[in-house]
Amino acid sequence: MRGYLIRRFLLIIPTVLIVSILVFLLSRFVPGNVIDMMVMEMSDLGEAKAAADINEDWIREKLGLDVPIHVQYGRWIGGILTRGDFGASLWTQRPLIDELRRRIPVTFELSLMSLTLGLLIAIPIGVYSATRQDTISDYIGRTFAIVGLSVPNFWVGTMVMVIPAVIWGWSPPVEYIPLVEDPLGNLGQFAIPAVIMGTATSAGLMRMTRTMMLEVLRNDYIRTAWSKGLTERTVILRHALKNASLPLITMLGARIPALLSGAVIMEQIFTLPGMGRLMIQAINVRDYPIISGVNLIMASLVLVCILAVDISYAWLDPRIRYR
Amino acid sequence: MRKGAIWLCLSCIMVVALVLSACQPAPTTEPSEEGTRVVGEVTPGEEEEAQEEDKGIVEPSEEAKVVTEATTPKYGGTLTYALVSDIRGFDPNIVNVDAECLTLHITNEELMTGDWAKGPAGTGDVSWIMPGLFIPEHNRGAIAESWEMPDEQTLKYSIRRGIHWHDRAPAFGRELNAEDVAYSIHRKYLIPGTEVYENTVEEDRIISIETPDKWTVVVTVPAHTLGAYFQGIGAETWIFPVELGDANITSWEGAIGTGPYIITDHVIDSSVTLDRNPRYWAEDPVHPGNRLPYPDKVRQLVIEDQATRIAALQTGKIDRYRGLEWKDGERLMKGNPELNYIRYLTHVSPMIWMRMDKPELPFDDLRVRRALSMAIDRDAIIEGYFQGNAEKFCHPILPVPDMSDMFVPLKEQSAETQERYEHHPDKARELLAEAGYPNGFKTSIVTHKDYADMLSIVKQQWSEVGVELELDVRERGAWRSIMRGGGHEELLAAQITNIYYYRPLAYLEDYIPQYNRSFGVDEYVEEYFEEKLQPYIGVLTDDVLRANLRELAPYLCDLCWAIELPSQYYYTMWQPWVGGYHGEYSVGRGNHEDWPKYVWIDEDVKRQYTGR
Amino acid sequence: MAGRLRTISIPTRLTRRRGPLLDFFVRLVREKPMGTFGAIIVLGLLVTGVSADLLAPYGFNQIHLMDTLQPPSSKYVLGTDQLGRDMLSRVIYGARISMLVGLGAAALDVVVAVLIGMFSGYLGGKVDLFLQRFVDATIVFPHLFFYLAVMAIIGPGLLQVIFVLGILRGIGSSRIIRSAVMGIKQNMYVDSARALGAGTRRILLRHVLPNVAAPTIIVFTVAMGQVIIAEASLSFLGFGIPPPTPSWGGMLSAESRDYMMDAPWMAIWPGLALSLVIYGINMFGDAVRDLIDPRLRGGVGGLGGHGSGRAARALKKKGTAFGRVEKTEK
Repeated sequence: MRGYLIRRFLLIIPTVLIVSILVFLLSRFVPGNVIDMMVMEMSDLGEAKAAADINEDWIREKLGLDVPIHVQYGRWIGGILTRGDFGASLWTQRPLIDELRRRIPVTFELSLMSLTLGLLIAIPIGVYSATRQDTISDYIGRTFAIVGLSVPNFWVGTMVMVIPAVIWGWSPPVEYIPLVEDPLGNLGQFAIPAVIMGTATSAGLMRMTRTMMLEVLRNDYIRTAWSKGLTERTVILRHALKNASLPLITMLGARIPALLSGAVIMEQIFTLPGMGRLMIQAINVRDYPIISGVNLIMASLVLVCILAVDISYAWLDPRIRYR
Repeated sequence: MRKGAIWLCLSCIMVVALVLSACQPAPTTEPSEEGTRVVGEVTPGEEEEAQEEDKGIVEPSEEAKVVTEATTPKYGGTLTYALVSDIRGFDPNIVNVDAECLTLHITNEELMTGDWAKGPAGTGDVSWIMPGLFIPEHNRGAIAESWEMPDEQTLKYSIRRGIHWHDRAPAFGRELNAEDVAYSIHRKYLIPGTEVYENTVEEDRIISIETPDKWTVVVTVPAHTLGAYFQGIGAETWIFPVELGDANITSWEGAIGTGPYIITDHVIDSSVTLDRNPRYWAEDPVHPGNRLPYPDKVRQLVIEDQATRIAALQTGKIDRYRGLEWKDGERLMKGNPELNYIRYLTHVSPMIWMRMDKPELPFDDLRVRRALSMAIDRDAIIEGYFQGNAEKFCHPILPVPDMSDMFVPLKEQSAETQERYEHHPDKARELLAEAGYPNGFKTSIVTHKDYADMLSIVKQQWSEVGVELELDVRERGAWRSIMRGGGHEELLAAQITNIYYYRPLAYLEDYIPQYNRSFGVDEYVEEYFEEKLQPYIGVLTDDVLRANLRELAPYLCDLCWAIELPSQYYYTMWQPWVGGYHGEYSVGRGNHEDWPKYVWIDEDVKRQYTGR
Repeated sequence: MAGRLRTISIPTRLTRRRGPLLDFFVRLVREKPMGTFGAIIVLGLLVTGVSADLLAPYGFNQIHLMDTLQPPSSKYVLGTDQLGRDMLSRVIYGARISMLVGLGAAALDVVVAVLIGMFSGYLGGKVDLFLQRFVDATIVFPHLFFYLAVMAIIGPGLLQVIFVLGILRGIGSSRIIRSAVMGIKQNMYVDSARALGAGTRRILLRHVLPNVAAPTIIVFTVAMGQVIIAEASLSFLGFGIPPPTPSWGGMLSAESRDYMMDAPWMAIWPGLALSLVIYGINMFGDAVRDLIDPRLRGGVGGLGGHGSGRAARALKKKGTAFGRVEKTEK
């Protein structure tokens, strides 16, 4: 087991490297390069020069884009490994670390809150639904889940933002309230997007819970537990849930990248300065160092999370052994 | 089955919830009220006729409402407004485009600036809505008290006394003098690796900057560049303290200037907070004796999402919103009647550009271009899609009062041009047949999704004359690249900036080569160019330049090198407790969003409306 | 009822009196009313999508400039949008787009997930290790960015959406299938099948595949719903199927948000259609899973094989799963 752990941990490194190379390359080959955009902006907003006249070589040099790609990549990776320097934005010249330091807590808080809410909603409803299959409670639970799946979260978010403003003259806070400054205000601000996100996540989780519970409940060992005279609660919690949770954890694990890359839409509508927004902005303006750096960090985080999920398999199902 | 019925009920609840949440009573169309006039003496009734016979000019304040609640200047309060994206930086040498260093415009100053008193707050000579206007008679001195040009190579500025730097590093409140100005000019123009330096050719470079005494700056420049430097040094050079040296300003802590506000915080991608500068030197130009600024604090909130921004305006969380689209503006007028507003034309218009350098394509034939333009029913677009809130002829100058001496209205243009802006599908088919396309042709246009709606209309209208248009919708960044390189295969949808009055040749120099790829303009234009326009390059006085554009405009229109699409109106709205504001945006060239210097907040009025 | 020796393999169905497909649909209608409702909705979607040209009164991009933003009327049954296009027609054509996106991407998702999941989960060892690294890399690779890259290189469009959404989801979903396979692998009947000499392919097809049917169907139905929502989210961010193509998601995110307060019907109809369709897909998917799950054949499912299902219904009324299981022991 320990050997497996160490091996898996070490295997994260090549995966991350591969991803970083792919992202690096892909971002350069996407049409619409950053120099063109800067030149167009200077032409539009600046001294009203013809874009064709604007000298771009100095921009290229200043941004370090005048060397071949493998040199750029080498410099970038080298900077990270030797100095911990993740590079700076091409547009603002602000170091990536500064950006991340401010944004990761926001996304993390939002993800954690929505995941918790999602689980809190999904598991009880899923279990209840499974044990009361085809009764009204089951139908209610499934309807709720499907509604959660059907209505897009950006739609709900927009309505929450717009409709109260029109009817009551109230809107959720439009300015980010840091946790340290005003914990209650902060939680209040995050609550709305977290609920919206959590409900959407809970839908899929609930259905999976219900399905796997249904399957597990048919099994022999459940019948044995039941015939032993154990209470419903014991049977469900100790035996059924643990075994049903394998695919559930997998689904959860699959959710993590989505959550960590930020609920971009929620962040945009509710003006939360998180990672998702950073990525979108960076992609839109082709801010290569930001794109590469953020992806590198997130890839590493996600891989660690996945490893944790895989480890939990072994804990949950003793039959699964890692050699 | 009972269960089934319950099931159905539950399903219906879901549906009903969706419907209810999206349902609003259909807005009734009421005639919009004409509010208090801001500028000009034309009353609502008269202005219809005035427009007919006059110049086709659109008054910005024709549709306006400025409530006279917060009339008396008051000190104190916080001014809040929204930014569409975060401040990119604080140093134009890093960020390259000083419009993206928005805080500079209220924390720092230039040698001269626009005169607020010549705007709607005072005499109303200019609206200060359009950026980029450099009209020396509408400027007043800021850092410079006065200036002169003793000969064709020299600019001489007298520096104002009594201006102090902000009380922070590295200048710590000392008095500003000529050395700072000289340093700043050098900083803008003569440092390699900065945008201005790299884009200036050697023969145009500044020859010398001298400070004969503590209060005078003398700049020597090559003779043919005097006009350009007069504008650049006077209106576009931010003055920094000499202590900065070679350093760049990388964060808000390092931002230093002489302006009315001092940055006290910048939460990245969230907000900027500025405090009042108690030692600011300037007085309110329309209320002499009042030291500026009035508000204690200014807050800029970064709100990217449009719906959220509008909600913030409706709930009083921001004090002013610029750039509302016409439908949002109209709705807010009805839903929040307490808001003030003006309606204006923005300085960019959407155009369809064509590759005229490819002989195999139909577009180098003037008849085809005219036909394509005639096939578009602009009036129907304006009435149906924009519901009246757009203008069809904004070319090459916007029909606004600030440009009224250069705008040549449609009825003074040639007959062909007038015809082109009307809907004549039959004539279009005729012209196409004449040009050798009796059955029309197929083409495609590169665009991004914002133009897709309008182009869908164009597509349908062109199909009536046999031209099949395919929409090639690209992602915005890719589209920008194509714009820059002229990489479109056939057609391109892009905007044009309509304020090139000071460079009437910009059309010939910039847009045609870039978008139409016609590097050789034909002989007629070259003759015209050499004879009439060449002598005026770098000329000082604007009236000459402006007159030239008036002459040039009909010819440019006849060339029909781009097909214009209607430009829509936008609204700027602000709360009733903001006083002294009339929708201004840019008070003089080089300034963006510097109106917070001059306005005030009336807290009593605010408390009336919002209870806080 | 005579006791039958029930094996777990599929062919026993052939010994029933009705054909399997007919049997399936009869059971669907009798036992799963909401599943039937869902099936009708899905059928409706397919029919609408396929015959959109016949059903729609106007073209989906037919502009009537003088009738913009009209509420529902006799001329335009569901109202018009900002270009005067008939909403009914756009919703009908939207069914086609949503159907293509939903089916296409979900199908791709399932195919990829099953292929990777089965091989990785069953074969284990080095194959598993290698494949999982690849899967991990794909999961952490920013989907949004990948999509933007594909779209920026090839140009935005329907196929790109299907391709990117389907494949990326599939690789991610493979982990679910893999975990199910790993669970099944441990089961004794697989061991005994192997002991009896069955080859890998036979085991995979006969034993493993049917038993991952349940999570696969869940993956498919969840994917179908989520893909349609994902397309809507991409449209919201500006990366979706570009206008003027009428996808419900696109209609919900772009135009209707802009005009929400002025013309709410622009959002209601696509939103209703979207919700209804996803609801139907999921209900149908649930019913299908309930009916074909092999493990259930030892319980209620098998009992209702060729009976009228009355016994099954009677049992259902008891309520809990435990009760039911208990009863069939008798």
